[in-house]
Amino acid sequence: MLEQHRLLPQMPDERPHHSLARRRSLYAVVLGLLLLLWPLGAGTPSSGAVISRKFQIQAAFVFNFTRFVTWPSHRFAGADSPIIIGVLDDNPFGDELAAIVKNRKVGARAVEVRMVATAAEAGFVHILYVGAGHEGRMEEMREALRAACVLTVGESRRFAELGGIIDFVLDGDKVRFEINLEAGEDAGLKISAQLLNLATTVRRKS
Amino acid sequence: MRSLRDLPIKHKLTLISMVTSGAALLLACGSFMSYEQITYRHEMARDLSITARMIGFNCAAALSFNDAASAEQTLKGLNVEPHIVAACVYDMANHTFATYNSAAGVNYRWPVPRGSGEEFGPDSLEIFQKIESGGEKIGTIYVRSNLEEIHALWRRYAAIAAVVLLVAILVAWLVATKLQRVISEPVRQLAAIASRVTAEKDYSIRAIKRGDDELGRLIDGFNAMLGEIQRREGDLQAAQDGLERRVQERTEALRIEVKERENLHRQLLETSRQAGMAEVATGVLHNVGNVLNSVNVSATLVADRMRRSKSANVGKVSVLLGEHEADIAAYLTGDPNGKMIPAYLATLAEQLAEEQAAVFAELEHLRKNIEHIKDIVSMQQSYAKTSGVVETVSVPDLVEDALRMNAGSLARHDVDVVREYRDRPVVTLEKHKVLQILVNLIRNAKYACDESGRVNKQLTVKLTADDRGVSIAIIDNGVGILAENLTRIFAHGFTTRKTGHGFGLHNGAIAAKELGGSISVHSDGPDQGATFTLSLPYKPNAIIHDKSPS
Repeated sequence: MLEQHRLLPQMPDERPHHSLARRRSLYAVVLGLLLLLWPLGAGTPSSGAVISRKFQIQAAFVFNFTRFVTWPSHRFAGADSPIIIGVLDDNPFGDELAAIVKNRKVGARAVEVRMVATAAEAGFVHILYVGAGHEGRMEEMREALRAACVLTVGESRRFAELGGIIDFVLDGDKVRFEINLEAGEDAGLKISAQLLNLATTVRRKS
Repeated sequence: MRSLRDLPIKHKLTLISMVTSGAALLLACGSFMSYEQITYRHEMARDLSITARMIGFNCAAALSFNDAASAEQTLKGLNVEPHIVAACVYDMANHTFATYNSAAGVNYRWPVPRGSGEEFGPDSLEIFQKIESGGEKIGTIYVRSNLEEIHALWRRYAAIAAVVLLVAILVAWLVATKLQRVISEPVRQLAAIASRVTAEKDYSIRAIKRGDDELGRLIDGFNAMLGEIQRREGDLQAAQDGLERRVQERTEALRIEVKERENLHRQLLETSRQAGMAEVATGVLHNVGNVLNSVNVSATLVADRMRRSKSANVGKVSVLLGEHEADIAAYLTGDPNGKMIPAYLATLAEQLAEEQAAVFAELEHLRKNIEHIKDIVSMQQSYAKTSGVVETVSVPDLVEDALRMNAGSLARHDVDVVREYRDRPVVTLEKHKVLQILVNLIRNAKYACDESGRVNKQLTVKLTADDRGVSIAIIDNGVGILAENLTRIFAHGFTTRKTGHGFGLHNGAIAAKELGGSISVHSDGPDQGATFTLSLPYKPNAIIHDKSPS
């Protein structure tokens, strides 16, 4: 069952949307987006490759997922063990993701980016980005990923169909995501309600 | 309007109670309200801070994933808190990411984000709160609340405080009205007793003591004071009684003393009356004596004349005629002796007639003197009465009478009498007193002239009158008076003569005084003569001016 959740269910929105307010909020979103993108673009001056804005945003989102997802404690050796983001086979972000995570921490944990090629390698990461066209590879590692409580992030319908947990979708020119909560829970992950709120769709256990 | 000072004590006490409880309550309410305000502001700031943190937290994902619409939805949830008027989420670059404004349509100027913290404005509370995610700051949230709740609270508290204050004052009034009697009643009673004591002057009244507090002691003191006053009142009364008794005694003593004095006075009066009578008798006798001198002189003269009378010669002639009875014709014609008889008889008859005339004159004089004595006696009799006999007389006639009474002695001592009657007034007075004075003055003048031994002895009587009265001056050119004697010449018993007894002038002066007049004396010294002037204040009934002295 798919259902849209608001952040604060205790605060029901009874106010009708005002067209002016909506337009203004839209404007604010666009402005905010542009401003958000600015430091990201500035953060990759060394990268020669021009990374599409979609991937820049996806890279930022992938990092941000670390804050709204909780892994079982056995996935970490200690309280300050790093969160490892793996990119399966092919890196669409260039140096973007590495630049984003560099010197940043989530709680006490640092964040690292690794390239993943095998299922064994995949068992060490906490997030695995599965680029378009690599969904078959993920299929192969499916059990290992589930056992290792890996949050899988992809960007295709096929990825979602294959049981990927967070799937980027484009809403106009806006990057958004769907969440397969069932798969996440299967993998032993706790996904923040806030994150679920932001998802365009959430698949839950029926 | 009555001032607070004049308010009865019971009202004062009630007022004090009310004011005290009111003040205490006001202070308590004030403190409580202030404390509530501070606490409430703290709480409000804390609540708003929590709200901001929660909203910030709820916006963290939206901010992280750039979902402004979601953030705005979250912010919209603030509309359940009517006091929150505006909220805003800023991104890392401090640009507004999502906003909320309770008053739709108002273009809100969003403040530049500051560090976390709250700030109270005059009618607003603003909070900035950083938004964190994974321990990292990802933005700022701003929440602004109005202070309507605080103001409403304040108004509510003020209303409650007012009501409580009112009720408390009312209760205080009720309680104080009952309880003030504990103090005011004894005071009121004391005041009433004091008033009664003052009004009735009854110091035996006592105030009733109720307790042993200060009022009790005051009442004790008051009663003691009353006792003291009562005691003193008694003493005073006793003293007063004693005083009255003493006054009575003293009055009695005085009365007796006065009586004694009256007796003494009466005795003295009697003595003086007797003395006066003696004095009067002396005066009368003196005057009578004076006249008797004249009488004596007249009698002696008559006796001498009679002794030397030629009447015996008639007998001798008769004897001769008898011897010659037979031949009487011959004897008368032939006898030499007989021839002389008719001539002799004629001479004798002439002599006898002369003698008779002289004796007759002297007897007339004698008669007048005796008349004067009679006058003196009758004057004395009238003097003995309350007032003398008042007659209307001519003053010159009076003076003439006086001169006539002394005429014999004046003539004997060759004293010339000069009369200068400028006026001839007629006045109404006691004739004999004036006569007595004048006789006395004339006799004195005669003595003065006599003693001087001079040849041209002269006595001048000057009579003048004007509107104020009559003046009779007796002026002599006799021995005069020493200056030192002028002042005491009228004193009783003063005299310069060997035979004088110092009564004449004194008596005269008294008589003049009794007539309302006076006697004055003037002398230029020894041998310069003297002038005695009798001034009488009688207004003349008529004045007959007589330029030529008679």
